[in-house]
Amino acid sequence: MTDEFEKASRFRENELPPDEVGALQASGTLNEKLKVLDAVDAAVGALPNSLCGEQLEALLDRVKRPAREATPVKRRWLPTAAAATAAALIAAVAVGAVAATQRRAWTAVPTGQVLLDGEPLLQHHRLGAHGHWSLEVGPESTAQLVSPAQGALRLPAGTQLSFEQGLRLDRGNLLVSANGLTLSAGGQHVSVDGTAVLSMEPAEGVVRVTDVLNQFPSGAQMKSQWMRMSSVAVTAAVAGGGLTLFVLDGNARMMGENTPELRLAAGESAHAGDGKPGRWKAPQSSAALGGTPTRSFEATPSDLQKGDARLRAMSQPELVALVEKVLDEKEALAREREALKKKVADLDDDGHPARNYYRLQPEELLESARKGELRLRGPQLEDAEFKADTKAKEAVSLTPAEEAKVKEIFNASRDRARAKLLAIYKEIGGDPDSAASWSTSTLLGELRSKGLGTEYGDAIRQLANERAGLVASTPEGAGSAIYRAYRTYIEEDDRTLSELERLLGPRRTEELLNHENTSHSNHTFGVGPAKPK
Amino acid sequence: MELDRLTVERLRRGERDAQDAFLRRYAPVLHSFVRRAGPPGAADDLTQELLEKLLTVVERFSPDGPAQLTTWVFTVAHRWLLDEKKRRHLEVAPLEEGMDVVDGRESPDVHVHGRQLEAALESALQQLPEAQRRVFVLTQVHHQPLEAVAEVERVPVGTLKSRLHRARATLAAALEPLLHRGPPVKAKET
Repeated sequence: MTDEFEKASRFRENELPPDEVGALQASGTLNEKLKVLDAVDAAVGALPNSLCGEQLEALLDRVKRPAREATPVKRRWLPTAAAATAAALIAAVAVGAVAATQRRAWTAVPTGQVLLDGEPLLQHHRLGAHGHWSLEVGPESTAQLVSPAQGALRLPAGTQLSFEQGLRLDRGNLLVSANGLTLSAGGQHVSVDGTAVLSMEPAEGVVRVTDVLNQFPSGAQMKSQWMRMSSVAVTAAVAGGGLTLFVLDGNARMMGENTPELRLAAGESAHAGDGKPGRWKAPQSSAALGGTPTRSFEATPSDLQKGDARLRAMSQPELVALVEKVLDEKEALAREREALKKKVADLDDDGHPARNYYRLQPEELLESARKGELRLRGPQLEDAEFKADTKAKEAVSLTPAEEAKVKEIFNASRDRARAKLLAIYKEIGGDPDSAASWSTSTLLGELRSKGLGTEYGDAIRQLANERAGLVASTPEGAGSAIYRAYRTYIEEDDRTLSELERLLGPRRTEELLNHENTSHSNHTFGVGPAKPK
Repeated sequence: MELDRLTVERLRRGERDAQDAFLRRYAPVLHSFVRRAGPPGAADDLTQELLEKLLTVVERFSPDGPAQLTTWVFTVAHRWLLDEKKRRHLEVAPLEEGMDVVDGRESPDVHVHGRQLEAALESALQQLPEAQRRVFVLTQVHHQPLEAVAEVERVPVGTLKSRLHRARATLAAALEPLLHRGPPVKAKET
């Protein structure tokens, strides 16, 4: 077993002798082995540092510092103590920026719709120093970033993070657990040594309800005991624009270009521009530990007052009115969420398949177009043979001859698609001999990687729109190489369905493809809707 | 590099803040390195010794040299760990023979049932032959350049790659059952 993995590992790095490549590919287990190796790499990349918190402090206390006489610093460089502090923090921020852009420094683990520079993020994506990076989390998901050297970040829905020059929170919330990690937000530099929440609202005056921490699982994924904050405190954070920092554990520092450094300890919070930290109220009840906030919020107006200068000017009735509005919005969102969950549950209860592997319905195609995604159902992309077990065959009364013909249809489609892809790859200057040994998905990925600029995103959106009937079809043979590669699979999807329907009829085809004991393929290429220009 | 220069200059001047910043920056990663690649059960003490050594020798680091400060720190740590083994009269395992470190930890199979992937991975790492484990931790966990690690190990880069392939394969074989089983079901939030 280990030998097979070792060969797969060498194959992945193009270090396997050519005579062994063929044998390995013929074994039929290569893709599975590669997936396991990728998963191991991701797990290794997510290994945490073993030292933090009190244990770290204890060790640092024990380390003997060499005694050296400090060289006096010329006053013209550092005229004031504040400037010295600023320089130290700026240096620390720069350290963080360097560390943050270190190769494969962060592993991103999306749990739903997460975009990186407008492209969907893959599972266990490694983020490195590759120019401009921005991570955007969709409305129904969360993501986490883990760096063995720096710590862990959790991003709830609606968060935007960029890596252009070190980590920068552009919008939303971030739960940070780190040892000396530095990042920026809203013109502030923040250094966290422990656990803290950063809440960043770019639009001044926006009132938004955030139940960010309600969504966090209690440390199961992060191997760390995440503390939960009171919804009251979070609501206070987002009641005004700019950055608000809450320290849950350890300590943190915050400093702007023209503001003095602010040091915060556990239990303290500060809004950007505040002269001194305040205290956020720790959860007092189970409701406050992630449940729906209660009217106890009214009892803590001081939390709000510390959060935003505008709020300080508000009267008590105005504050109460604001709280009412915030709570109403939260309740409305909760109701909407419940309705959506029920809608999904109802579909399952009715016995309909959660996913349609037959012809996509117009509303499904429109939804895909709206989301900027392309859904493909056939097995042609996987180099795998179509399979149906006895139950599936009995359910649709599939004869052996029909089964053989079904496989023949899919195999022919797979071969046609691969031949077209190879032709496209050759057309753009690729080496067909090398490509011949690749899996179809690797070949498709290679074609995608050769795309320029937004070609991939444009191609997916164009195809999704064409498929939904929102725009006219591109003439045959026109379009970018990426466009034509993916179009090949849409055409093969349609063609195989037509051939199957001719063989079995529409009802039996649908029944066979959607049967739970039939092998299913599901590929969704999502790039998100086009950004407004 | 400019940042490295600034850091080292401040350390040379003996600035306490700079020492603290240096220690806070490197203590967690070096502790992880020592715990995973060094002898079992002594990570705290060894990391303390290593940090003290680094504070005394960091002024030798040349910001104009080819290595970044982090690479230099890990190179020093790597050499120090090998020297430390010699001082303790522990032999470095020959490459091909391997020598499992027996430290009383559970086998990967035990972890598969009920523990998360991280625990199984940590355990599987400890089952690797020491030479493989050391280079794997340095290059894959701490992202150190192959060339720098190969130089300290006194082996060609190709040999180092062989160790890495073997180590990764061993880990994959140990973790495959857990990976096939998928992530554990999360407790329902209330």
